[in-house]
Amino acid sequence: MEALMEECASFEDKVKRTIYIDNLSPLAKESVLKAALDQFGNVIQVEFIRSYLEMKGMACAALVEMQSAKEAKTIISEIRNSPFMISGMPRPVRACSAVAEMFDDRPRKPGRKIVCRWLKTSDPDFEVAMKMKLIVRKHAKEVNFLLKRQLEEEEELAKEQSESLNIIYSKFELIEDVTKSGTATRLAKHYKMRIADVDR
Amino acid sequence: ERERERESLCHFAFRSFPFLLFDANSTRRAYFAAACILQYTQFKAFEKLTSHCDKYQMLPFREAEEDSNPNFSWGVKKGKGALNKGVQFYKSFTYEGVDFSLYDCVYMCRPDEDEPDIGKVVKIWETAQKKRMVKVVWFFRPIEVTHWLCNIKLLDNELLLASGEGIGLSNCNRVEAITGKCNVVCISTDRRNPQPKNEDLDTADFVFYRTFDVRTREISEEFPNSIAQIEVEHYFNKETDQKQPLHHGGKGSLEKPQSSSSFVGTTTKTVVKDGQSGRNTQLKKATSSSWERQGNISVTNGTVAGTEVKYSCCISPTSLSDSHALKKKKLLDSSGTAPFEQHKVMQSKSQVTKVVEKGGQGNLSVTDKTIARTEVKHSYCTSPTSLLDSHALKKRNLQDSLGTAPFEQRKVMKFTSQVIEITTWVKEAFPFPFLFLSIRSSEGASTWFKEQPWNERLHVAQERGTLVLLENLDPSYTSAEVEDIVWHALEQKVSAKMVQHNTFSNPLNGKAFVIFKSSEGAETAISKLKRRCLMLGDGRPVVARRGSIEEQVKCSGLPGHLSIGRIKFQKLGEEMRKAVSTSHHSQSNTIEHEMAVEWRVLQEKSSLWWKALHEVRVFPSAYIPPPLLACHLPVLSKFIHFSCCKKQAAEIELLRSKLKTPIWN
Repeated sequence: MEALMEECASFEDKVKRTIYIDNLSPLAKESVLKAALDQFGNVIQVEFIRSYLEMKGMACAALVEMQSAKEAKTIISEIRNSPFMISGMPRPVRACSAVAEMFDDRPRKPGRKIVCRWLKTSDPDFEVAMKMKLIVRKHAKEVNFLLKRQLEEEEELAKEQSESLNIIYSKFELIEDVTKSGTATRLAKHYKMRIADVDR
Repeated sequence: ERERERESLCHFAFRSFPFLLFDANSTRRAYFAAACILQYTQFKAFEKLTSHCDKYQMLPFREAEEDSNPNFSWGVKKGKGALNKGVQFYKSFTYEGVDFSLYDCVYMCRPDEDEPDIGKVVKIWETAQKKRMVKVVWFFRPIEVTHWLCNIKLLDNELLLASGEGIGLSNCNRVEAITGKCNVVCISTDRRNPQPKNEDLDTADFVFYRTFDVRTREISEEFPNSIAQIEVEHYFNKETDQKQPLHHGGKGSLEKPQSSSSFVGTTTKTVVKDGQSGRNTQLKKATSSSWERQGNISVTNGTVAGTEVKYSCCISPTSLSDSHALKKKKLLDSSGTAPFEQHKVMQSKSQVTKVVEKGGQGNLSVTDKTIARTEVKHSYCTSPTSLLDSHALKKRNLQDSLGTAPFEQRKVMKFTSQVIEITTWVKEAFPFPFLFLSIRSSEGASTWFKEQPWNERLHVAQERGTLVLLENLDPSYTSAEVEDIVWHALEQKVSAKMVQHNTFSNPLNGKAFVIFKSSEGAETAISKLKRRCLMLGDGRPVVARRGSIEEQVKCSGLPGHLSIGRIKFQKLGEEMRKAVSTSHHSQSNTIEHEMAVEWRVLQEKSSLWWKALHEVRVFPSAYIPPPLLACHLPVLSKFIHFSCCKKQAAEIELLRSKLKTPIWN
C-alpha cells in the first residue's frame, strides 16, 4: 500500500513538472526539442505522444519533463507571451501544463474500487443507457468533424501566408536587384535626386 | 527606451510600408496594425496608460463657462477647503440622473481608447472657478499590466487597485469625464474588508483583491494602510446598510427617461474634439426608445496605418437601460466638423450596442462560491448578423434597430472555471448484482502476448481484427483497470491501453484501445456491448466499436512552416539553414513575428472551439489582447451551429439525470 501511495505521489509530482507542447512539426526530433527547451532549464525527458487518430497534416505533440515545476511554469508563460518556433517558422508551438490524463502510464490510485454491471433490458435505465451510447458516438463524430475543420483552417492559413511571403520576397528581390546593380543610384544621379540610405 | 521602441517601429513600418502600398489585401494591414499594437502594448503599456491619464485635463471642454448644467447637481456638502476657501468639497453629486457619492467606482473614457478606465472617486470638489473636479484612484485592467503579470493568473473580471506613489495612481479630472458608474466589489480576505454577499457578487461588474504598486510595479494581496492619503477602509466594500443606495443608484435612475433635448444639450457639451486621429468610442444603444438616431453613424478609420473600424453614433439616454455598465461614451456630432475621415457609413443599423463583457440583457454573471476566490462566469453575447468587418480589432455588437428581439441569434459562450470532478469511488452496498473488480495479480499478464511496442501491436491487431476501441470510460482509469473491467465483464483476457489526452480531448471521456486474443473474441465483445449495456458506476455505458488507427503519414513538414523559394534558400548558406533548424523566439520587428501572431490567433481560436464544445476550460487565454480574440467569433458561430447550441457535456448530463437508479459519486 505504501509503495502505491508513494508511486502516486511521485507521479503527481511528475505531472506538475511536465509541459505539454503541441503544434510541433513531425520533423522535430527528440534532440531538437531537448535543445530548444534546454535554454530554459534542465530537461529530464522528452516523450512524444503518438496520436492514433491521426490525419494528414496534424501537428505532433510531446510531453517534456523538466527538473522543477517552476521551470515548467516559466517556459509555459514564455511560450505564451512570445511566439516560439521549433524547427520551422513561422508557426509557433503551444505549451500548457500537463494533465494526468495525458500520460501513458499512470499508477493505479490506491483504495479505489471500480464497479460495473450489466443492465437487463427490463431495467428502466436501459433505454437511457442506449441513448447515451448513441450520443457518445455522435460526439465522437462531432469531434472528428471539428478536427477536420481545424486542419482545413490551418492549411488555409498556411497557404495564405506562403503566398504573401512569396509576394513579399519577390518584391524584396526586386528592390535588392535595383539597388545592387546600381540602377537606383544611376537614376538618382540622372534625375538629380538623393537616395537616403536607411540605417539598418 | 522610448526612442529605441520608436525606431524599431519605424523600421518595421519602413520595411512593410512599400509592400503595403502594393498589397491590396486589407487583412495584412489589419495584422500590421495588430502587430504594432501588440508591440506597443507589450513594451509601453504602463507608460502609455499613465501618461494619458492627465489627458482629461487637456480636453477642451466647451462648457467651462456654463454655470448650471441642467444634468448636474450637487449633493451633500462636506466642508470647505483648508487652504483655499473658494474650494468646496462634496460627498455626493448627481450627474446625468445618476447619483455618485464619495468612494464610488466610475468609468472614465479617454478619447482614443475603447475601453473605459475604472477608478474610485476619492475626492469631489468645486473650485473657486466653478470647475467640478473629482480625484480618482485607478484600477488597472489585467491587459494594462500584462508585462508585469508574468505567471500570475487573473480572474476574468478582476481588476488591480493602484497603490504606492507615482504616476498612474490617481488623477484629478473633471466630473464631466465620467461616463458611468461601475460596480466593483472587493473580495479580499483582509480583515478590514466586509465580505461581499452572493447577491453583491452577482451584480458586480468587477472584482478586485490585489493591488498593483505603481512605483515598484508589484502585485500583492496586502493592502497598505492608506492609498493616496485615503484610509484603505474606504477602498473596501461599504458596510452592508449602505449597500442599498449603491445598487439603486446604479440601476434605478438610469431608467428615468430624460428629455432628448436635454441630453442632446449635454452631448454637445461633452463632445471631445481633438485633432488626433483617434478611434471613436462606441455607444450604448436604445432598445425600446422611440428616439431616432441623430446625425450619421460613421465608421472611421484610424489614420495610423491600421484599419480599425469603429462605430459611433448618437443615441438617447433612455437607451441606457442596460442594468450595469453605464457606458456613456462621448458622442460625436458628426454633422459638425468631424476630424475623422469617414470611410463607411452604416446603412441599416442605426443603433449600436456595446455589450459589456459582463452579461447584457439579463445574462448576468454567476458566481460560484465553492471556490475560495469567487470566479465569475462570463457571458458573451454576440450577434453574428451584425459582424460587419471581421478585421475590426474591437468587435462590438450591433443590435437590430427596432430592438424587437434582443439578439437575433444569440451565441453565448460560457467560460467556466469549474472542473467537473472525477471522483473516486466509494465501496458501498448495493442491491444489484455487481462485479467487484479486484486487483489482479501480475500473473494475469498473459504470456501469450509478446512484448512488442504498442505501435506495432496496434497495427497487427487491426489487421487481425482484434482491435476494439472502448469509449465513455472514466478518464482517470489506468490501462490495467480497463483490462480488469473487460476480464470481469466479458471474461476475456485482453491487453489495453488508455488513449492519451491531448488538447482537444474531451476531459470527461476516456478511451482505450483493447486488443483481444482473437477476432471472434473481439466480435462477440462488440456485439455484446452493443446489445446490452455495461454500466459503469457513475452512470456511463461503455461504448465499443471497431478500433482503427490511421497510418502515420510521412509528411515532410507541418503546414505553416514556410520557406522561401528553394533555389535561393540553398544559396543562403550555413547560418541561414541553421537558423531555421534551431528554435528561437521571433523578434518583433520581422514579418515572421507578424505571421506567428496570426498563427497564435488561430491557435487561440481553436482552443476556444474545443472549449466550447467540451464546455470545460482547456487553455487559459494567452497574450492575445481581447480585441484580437474577438475576431474568432464569426468562425466560432459556425461550430456552435453545428453542435446545435448544445454542448457535449450538457447533453450527457441531461441524460444522466434521467437515470432512475442512484448514481454513486
